[in-house]
Amino acid sequence: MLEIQNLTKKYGHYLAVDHVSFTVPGGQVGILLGPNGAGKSTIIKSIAGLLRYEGGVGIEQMPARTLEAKRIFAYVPEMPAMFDALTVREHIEYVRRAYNSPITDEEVEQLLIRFELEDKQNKLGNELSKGMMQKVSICCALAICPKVILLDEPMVGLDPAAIKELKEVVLELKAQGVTVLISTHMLEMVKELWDVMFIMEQGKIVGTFTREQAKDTDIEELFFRITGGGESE
Amino acid sequence: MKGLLYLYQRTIINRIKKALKRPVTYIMGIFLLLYIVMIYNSFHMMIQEENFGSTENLVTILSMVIFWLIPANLISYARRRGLLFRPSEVHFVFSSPVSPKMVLMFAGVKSFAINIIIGIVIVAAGVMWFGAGIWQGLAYFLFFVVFESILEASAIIFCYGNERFSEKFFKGLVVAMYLFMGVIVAIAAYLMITREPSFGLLQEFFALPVIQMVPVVGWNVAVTRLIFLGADTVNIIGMGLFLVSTVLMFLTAWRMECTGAYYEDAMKFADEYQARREKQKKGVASIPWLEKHRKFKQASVEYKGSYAKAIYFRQMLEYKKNPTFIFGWNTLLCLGIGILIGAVGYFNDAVNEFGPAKIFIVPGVASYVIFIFSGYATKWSKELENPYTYLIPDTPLKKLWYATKIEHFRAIADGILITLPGAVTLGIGPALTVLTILLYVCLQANRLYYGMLADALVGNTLGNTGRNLVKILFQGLAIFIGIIAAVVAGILISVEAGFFAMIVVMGLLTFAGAAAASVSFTKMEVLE
Repeated sequence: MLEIQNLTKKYGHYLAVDHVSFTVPGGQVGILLGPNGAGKSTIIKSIAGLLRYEGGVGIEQMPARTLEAKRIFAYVPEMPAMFDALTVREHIEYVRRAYNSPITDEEVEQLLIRFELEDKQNKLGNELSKGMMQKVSICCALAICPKVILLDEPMVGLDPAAIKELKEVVLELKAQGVTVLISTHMLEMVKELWDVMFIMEQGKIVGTFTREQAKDTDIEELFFRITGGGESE
Repeated sequence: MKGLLYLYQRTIINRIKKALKRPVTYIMGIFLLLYIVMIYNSFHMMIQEENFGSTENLVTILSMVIFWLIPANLISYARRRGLLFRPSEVHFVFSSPVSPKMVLMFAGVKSFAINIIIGIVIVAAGVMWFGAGIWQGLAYFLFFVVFESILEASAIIFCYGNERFSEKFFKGLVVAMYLFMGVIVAIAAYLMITREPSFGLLQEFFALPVIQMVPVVGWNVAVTRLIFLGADTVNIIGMGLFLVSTVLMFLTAWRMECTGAYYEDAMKFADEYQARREKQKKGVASIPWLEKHRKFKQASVEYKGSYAKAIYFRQMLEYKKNPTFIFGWNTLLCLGIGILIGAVGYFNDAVNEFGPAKIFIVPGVASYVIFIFSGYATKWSKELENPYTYLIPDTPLKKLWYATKIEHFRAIADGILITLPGAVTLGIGPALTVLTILLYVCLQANRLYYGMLADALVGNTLGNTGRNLVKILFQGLAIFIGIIAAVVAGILISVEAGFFAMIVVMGLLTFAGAAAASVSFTKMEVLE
């Protein structure tokens, strides 16, 4: 379970996130939507512990900044950054050691095969393209065997095969009881994945829907109905 | 922790492996070795000749370093800019289950490793040149590498990890440190002005009990004195205070709660540093504060021509929006050098001292500046990163010319600034002054196009250093040929003819280089 309670973040005098609270129940997929500048990235970075904030973030009912919470938490940032001198395989090995992850060598192999990285295992971080970095970043997050995973614009830069694979991975994680939060602009890509949707605008949550509440309403229609942008029928 | 150790281990091994595969490593290794030998010999000679090799002098040098480095380090830590985190560390380390204090130590290891190297150098120099005993050397190494590192590590945790003290406290600490450094510089300046400036004066200054009692910095000096010069009441008290302060700082850091709030500042600095590094790689002079506060004016330009000419007019539009137009730090540097040549020439009566050779002063200094400084990238170099440059239907040579045309205007302005003050005070005639300015423009163009040629020829195979070496080699050859032409014309006809011959020969060689370098404008891949 991922709980955000009264999260507020200011950059100087600018209020980027204004008393935001939401919960992604355990084993469900939450999607965080909103136009540019709505505060999605700020929330994501706050959950990942990269920003100072007021309020609380709970991961499986533990404060997010504790080491216990960090052990079961994975984060895929919007802009992946690799270690220049580490190979793809070494990135995963680092993660395995840093998190004392139970993932086996065979599972790592499988992961690399799924994301078409098996022939790039020995490439150094500074030799990878943006798309490959994104794949490595996703593999590293999955190698943690997390209970909660945060994906910030995970589809950007991925090829169609990798997008398809990622969607399957998200559904598998959900089936395993992992809590997933995806922040994205690509509404089309998360259509079949989500259980609960949070729509942000100007630093606030302006709409929350569960799949049951939305019934057959199209995700885009819901989004534009709340934010008032785009064209809805 | 296991993860961080693995990260260090693999990074070091992979870097070494990669370096060993690159030929430039061996070339650089030879240069480094020669440089160390040269430094060793020159220091050895200097210390022997000046009879400088005493422990008192060693202590004075170390005291100066201590008084400069410790406050400077504290300032950088208090501003949360002393430790360098890379974006990859923000991505993989900050969110991992490692204590934020441990993450700080992970970043600090680089500083501590440097402390070990500096410690070894100090001990070696102390024993070899300054008459220090081996035990004194070892004691200092222990102090510098162990205790000093503990103090530094504690200061890092205190400044970065502190979530109790407000931002104001740390801003105040920074101001206090700057004030402290200012006071020390003021006292040193006062002593230098009121008394005969000498190294002995510095020795006296650092021997003052009040200096040895300055918290942390002075106590450091006291320990240094105790080790190398023997015990006295002041340095024993200083050492006691140093040890107590180290233990207290360590305990404070150990017990302090740190949840990782500093990650935000570290992340911001990592992004800034990364952006600056990328600019530096491309040779762009960048001052982050200025860039943050840069404002552009409204401007317009009339495009008088099409195809490659459009590059020139677009650059002109961008420069017109710039508050300082085409001028920048290089302009100020040229003005400064020009004034310096003029002033030094005037006050030292260079007209009489140098006689007819005075006409070579300005070109000599200008050539040295151009030759030594690697140059900075301006708008022209960005053209090579822009796909539209390659798509414009025009010849590469024209594209090269219009992309760099403004550089020549800038060189004329810089040339005037560097030449005129000296020309006035040295009494150089108008014809030679104009020729000197033209020579400067020619030398600048030569550097520009030969740099581009080196890029096109060498690419990334030899790295930045290799590219610079190739460029310097080309430049050196062109200047050498130009000088031969100048000497011949100078002897056979006149001095003016010599200058003219050098400009013509260098101009032709530069044009040849530019024509060859224009290959860079044919396709983007050349630069890869």
